[in-house]
Amino acid sequence: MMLPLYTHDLFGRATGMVLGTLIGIAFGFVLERAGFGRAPLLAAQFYGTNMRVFKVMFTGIATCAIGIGVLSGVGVLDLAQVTVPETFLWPQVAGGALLGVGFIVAGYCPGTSCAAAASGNLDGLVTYLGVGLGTLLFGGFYPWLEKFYTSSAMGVTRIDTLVGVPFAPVAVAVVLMAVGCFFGAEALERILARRGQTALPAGNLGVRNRTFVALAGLAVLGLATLGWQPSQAQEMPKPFGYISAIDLATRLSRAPDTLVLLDARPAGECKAARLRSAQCLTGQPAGFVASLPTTRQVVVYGNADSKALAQRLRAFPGEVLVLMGGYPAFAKAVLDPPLPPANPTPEAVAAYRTQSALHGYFTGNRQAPEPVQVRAAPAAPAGVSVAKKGGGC
Amino acid sequence: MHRLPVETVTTRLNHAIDPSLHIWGWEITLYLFLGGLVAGLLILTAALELTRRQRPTSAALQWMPLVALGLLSAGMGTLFLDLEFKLHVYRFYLAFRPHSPMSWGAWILLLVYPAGLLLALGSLPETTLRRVPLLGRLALRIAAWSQQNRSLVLWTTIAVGAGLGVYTGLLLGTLTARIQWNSAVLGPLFLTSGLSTGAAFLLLCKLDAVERALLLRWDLAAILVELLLIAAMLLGFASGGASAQLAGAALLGGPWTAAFWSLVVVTGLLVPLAMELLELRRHLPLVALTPALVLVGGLALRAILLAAGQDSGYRLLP
Amino acid sequence: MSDQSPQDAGFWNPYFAGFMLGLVLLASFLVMGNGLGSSGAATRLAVSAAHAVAPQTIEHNGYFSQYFGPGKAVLDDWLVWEVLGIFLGAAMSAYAAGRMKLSITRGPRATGARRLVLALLGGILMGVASRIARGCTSGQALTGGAVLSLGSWLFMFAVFGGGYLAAPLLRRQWK
Repeated sequence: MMLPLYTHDLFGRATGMVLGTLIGIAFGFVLERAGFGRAPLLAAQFYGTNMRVFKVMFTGIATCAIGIGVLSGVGVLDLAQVTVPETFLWPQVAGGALLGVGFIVAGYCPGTSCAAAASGNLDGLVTYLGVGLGTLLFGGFYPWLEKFYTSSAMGVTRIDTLVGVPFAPVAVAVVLMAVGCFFGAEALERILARRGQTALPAGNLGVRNRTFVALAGLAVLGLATLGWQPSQAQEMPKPFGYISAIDLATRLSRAPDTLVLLDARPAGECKAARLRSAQCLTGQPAGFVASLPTTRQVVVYGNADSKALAQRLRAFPGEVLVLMGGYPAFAKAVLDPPLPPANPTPEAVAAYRTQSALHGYFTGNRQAPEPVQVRAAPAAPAGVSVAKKGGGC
Repeated sequence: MHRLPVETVTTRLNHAIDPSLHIWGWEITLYLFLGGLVAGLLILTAALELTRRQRPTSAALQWMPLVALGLLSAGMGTLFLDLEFKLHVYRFYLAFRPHSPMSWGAWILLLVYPAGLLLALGSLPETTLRRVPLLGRLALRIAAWSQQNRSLVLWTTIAVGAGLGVYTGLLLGTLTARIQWNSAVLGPLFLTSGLSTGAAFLLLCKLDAVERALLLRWDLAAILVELLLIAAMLLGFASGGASAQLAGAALLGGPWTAAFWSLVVVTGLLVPLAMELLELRRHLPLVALTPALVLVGGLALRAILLAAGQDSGYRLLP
Repeated sequence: MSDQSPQDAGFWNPYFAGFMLGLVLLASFLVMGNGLGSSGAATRLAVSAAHAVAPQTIEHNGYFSQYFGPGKAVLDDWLVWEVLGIFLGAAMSAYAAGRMKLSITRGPRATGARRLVLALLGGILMGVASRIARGCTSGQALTGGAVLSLGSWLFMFAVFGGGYLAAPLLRRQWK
């Protein structure tokens, strides 16, 4: 699974936001080019004279859905890593109806009002301000709305999982339905134009047909992915296990020669600070992973847990372990000086001693752990434990 | 692998310095922005006159030096608000210390006023000057001198303006404990940004077609140079020592990444660049949005570098 | 690519525009793993403005308290940057097409003042609605629709239903 890209530790959260700006620029550009910065053009949708909103939105949904269907069908996109809005049945139906009313009153939806404001339309700017005010209003009435707002929660419910078929065929059905609806919408436009003696919204038939052909091509590809299963077996995800920071530290101190440590964080971070004896995975020549000794276990770590880490070692035939919590977890558990337990039960003290020893081993800080007074666990009554001891004699 | 405090113990005694510097707020941001803007306005007004070899015809340009001085006064007002001991201002002018950019700045600020005034008097029409109350005749005499020695006045204005623009950047550069500001590029970067914001400010005024076309080209050039200087700054951070790399990390994946790239580079530089190129190529009418974005970007550049710099410090070094 | 009818003049063919919209949405999914949105940014902007005025009221509000806490900043969100992008992208598109002009778009019989009042009113309605439904036409209908979320599809049908029901009442505004 190569996509979505964010699973690969290629860029952090902050860089992702810059990408958000760039994606937003493309979104805004398309919205404006689609004519969505003009309220009368959007409102015409609800009088049947120009079904532009419906055509643009439904084509967009169909294109994206079939794209996701094809890419996940051939195993390039990991559907599990794609965020799907959760379903809250009745709030969404009621909110949708209310938003529809707001749409025809304002002439914009929130996104298009932004595009309208950017092209100088004051009504768009005012609409977007209204959206902000409306959310404040919602917050004000939240105590009364909360019960309804959280009602009929169904979690992430996708139509394909509901029906029990793969994503691609449902996406194909969406495409077919969309194209069918487009013909219906155009027929309606023609009828209303004839009745109202108005101009028909002109549409370049060539462009329309080419778009339909592109969608049909994608739909055929989507159906073809259903036959992809055998080769998908080779693309099976690399099985891996997890290892905790303390376990890793213990093994590294006792038998370091049974492990190979790989740092999968970006090259800069890895060069700056990595675990002792770890090698930077990023920037290694091709074939490096395959050349690792299969007699050892490979432990890989990033900045957090990530299934994608193990996938980068697909070429390694041996056993792969992923460090739980990544480098930060190891730094917290071992590299930071441990604090004596607040509630010194024997278990906590033992764990503290282990941690102190490991801390000393990895940082070279040989200071003795701070003394801790051991209190017996107060839970068990004294008499019982004495009786047990007596029984042993 | 461990983060140890490297800074000396003395800095820890100041509550405004540790754990991070937070002594400079919006006042300094606005002052640095206005300082750069005024530097740009003075340089560009003088440069337009030098290029066209004639006194400015549009009223906006004739009054611009005075507007610039007004803006500078507003900026110095915010600087004054920031001063802890407001009555001690006079002490800046009791000495001149060649190693202190603050001292240079204090004196440059003092030089900007006569330079701007000379420039303005030489470009305002005589009928306006005659109406100056009480000092009308003096104004006319100075105006005559300013016009006779025009190239001297113009070049002095440009030199003083450049000094003002560079000083706003060097001021930060000398505070070496803030590793974010340890870049020699800051001076030229702030000067170029000042030129760009100055051109944007002028483009918002009513000018004639020739002036507009010249300013548009200069603004394009300034934006391109600014992009190069930002690249130079980041390359300098990335290829420098540990402290420079830490400084660069704040803008390359660190907490200030989104604001810096989205607001300064995309909103303030790349989008205006694209829109100005479109304007030039397709002869589209100017819209106020393009210069407004440049001004927003210039303000964001100062605000972000100021905030990121105050966050940074040697104590963060691994 | 453009059509010739007066209202449509200069804009892309709707199917082509929809195709491009789908590709942008797909790119968002492939890179970030989530789709587009816009009302969420309006919420965050409004909350941060209200927080500047009355910090206590906002922080203790049952709904808005989710935006506050250690290590959280109201405006520190992907959607805020994305909406900045929408603004910049739409501005560039409008400028390049010679459509950027300060104006109030309205139906042939509507007055400017009334149009602005209705725009504000409609905006407020949509603000409330988008919080109830957890998204607007971008965040729910488009994004959720493309990943086949059941609730998003119902939301989309409800939007069109609500719009068609209310449209006859507002005929004078648009026709």
